[in-house]
Amino acid sequence: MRAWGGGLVVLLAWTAAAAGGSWGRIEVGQPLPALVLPDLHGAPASPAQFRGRKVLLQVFASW
Amino acid sequence: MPGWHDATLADQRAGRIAVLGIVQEQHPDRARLFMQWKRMDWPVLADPLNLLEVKVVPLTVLLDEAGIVRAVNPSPEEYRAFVSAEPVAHGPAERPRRPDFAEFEERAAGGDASARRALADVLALWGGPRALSRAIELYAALVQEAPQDGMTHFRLGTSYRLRYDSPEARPGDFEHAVEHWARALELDPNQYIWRRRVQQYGPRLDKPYPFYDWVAEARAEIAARGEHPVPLQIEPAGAELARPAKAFAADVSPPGEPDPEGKIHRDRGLVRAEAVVVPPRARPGETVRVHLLFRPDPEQDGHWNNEAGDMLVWLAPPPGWSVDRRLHVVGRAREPVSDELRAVEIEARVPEDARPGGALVQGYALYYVCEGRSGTCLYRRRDFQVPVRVAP
Repeated sequence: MRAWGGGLVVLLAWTAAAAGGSWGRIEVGQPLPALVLPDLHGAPASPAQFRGRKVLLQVFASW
Repeated sequence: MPGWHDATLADQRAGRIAVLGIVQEQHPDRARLFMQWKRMDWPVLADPLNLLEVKVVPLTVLLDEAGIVRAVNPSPEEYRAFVSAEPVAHGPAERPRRPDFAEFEERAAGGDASARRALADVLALWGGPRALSRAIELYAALVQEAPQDGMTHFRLGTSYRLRYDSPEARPGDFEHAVEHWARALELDPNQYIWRRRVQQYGPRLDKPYPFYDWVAEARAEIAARGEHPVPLQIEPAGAELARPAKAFAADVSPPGEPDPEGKIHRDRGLVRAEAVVVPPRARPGETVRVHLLFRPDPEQDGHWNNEAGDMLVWLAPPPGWSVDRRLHVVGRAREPVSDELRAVEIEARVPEDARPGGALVQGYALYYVCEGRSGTCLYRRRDFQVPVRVAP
């Protein structure tokens, strides 16, 4: 990813994603897969704990 | 990502939206440091195994109150409309729990491949270092049965690297990690999460950017704010910090070989040596990054002697091949004796006219090593040969 702040990054990611199946198990109109993952302190966490709230989910890497 | 953070800050503070992250990298604690640096305090989940199966990052996803995906990489207008929309009906929030290993074991006992992979996933993610060997065993059996399953190759590679970075490390772990990541990528060359994992440790010609050059800047800024930077479990080094290059720069300096006549006595096993070639195969004209890893053998009670001098590593590439540097000087720890891993990374270029098959990059290391913490200290030479596979 790299240019952390830019709209360009979002646009490029969208282009790449639109090119074919890059969103993996994320599908518009469908529930996000039920995932329980460790948070950055090792505790169990899940998008499902935010049910009842609107969520903006960032899938990212620090590089 | 900080762009979205800033754009949604007012909505976050007003409770109109929650921001959540899922990080797709091998060492999630580095994301903690990144979050601290950028002053982003929303919860982040670690997905080093790529359970989400995304192929690229970053992705921005809008989830409604029922957890339904409403948009991926929305425009600012779509985001605004989403935030303003009436809430949808939804069930109660779920409290996440640690997976119950016994439940997964029971399902896997039926022999179903997806149940066995799910067991391997929870062991690798939740079982700690001691469960990694079992996860590796399960993934390895699955790739034996389905050699074209790139995702399982990737998770197997990731588990090997997790074990390599743990107290349970075994010789060959890093090499196996690279081998399985590379195999996964061969099966799906469009999977950029997997590609980045190889590039993280690979040659400069193949790098899109230096992966963790931001760490030093982040620490300096955090410290200047009067905060303590989050400590990292594994310090980024070598290839993880190396800058991309557009051309290979071969070492053309005159030979300054430290032991040309081979007079230094050979080490008979006080130090273990390993080599990992990234990527594991290269075509003519391409480069590879060779990680040379040296560690005193605990079974022999070997220790580095840091009071005498630096470790030297000399490289002798095969005819027609070139390396970026032939002589490497490896720094020492401050204490008189130590047993840390010493790593040297070199890059080698495969000649344009190389034939498919392989070649041996040869060399040796010279080091001061002790037999036990208070035993005899010696100056020793360790010869090595690193096979590099040349693809057609």
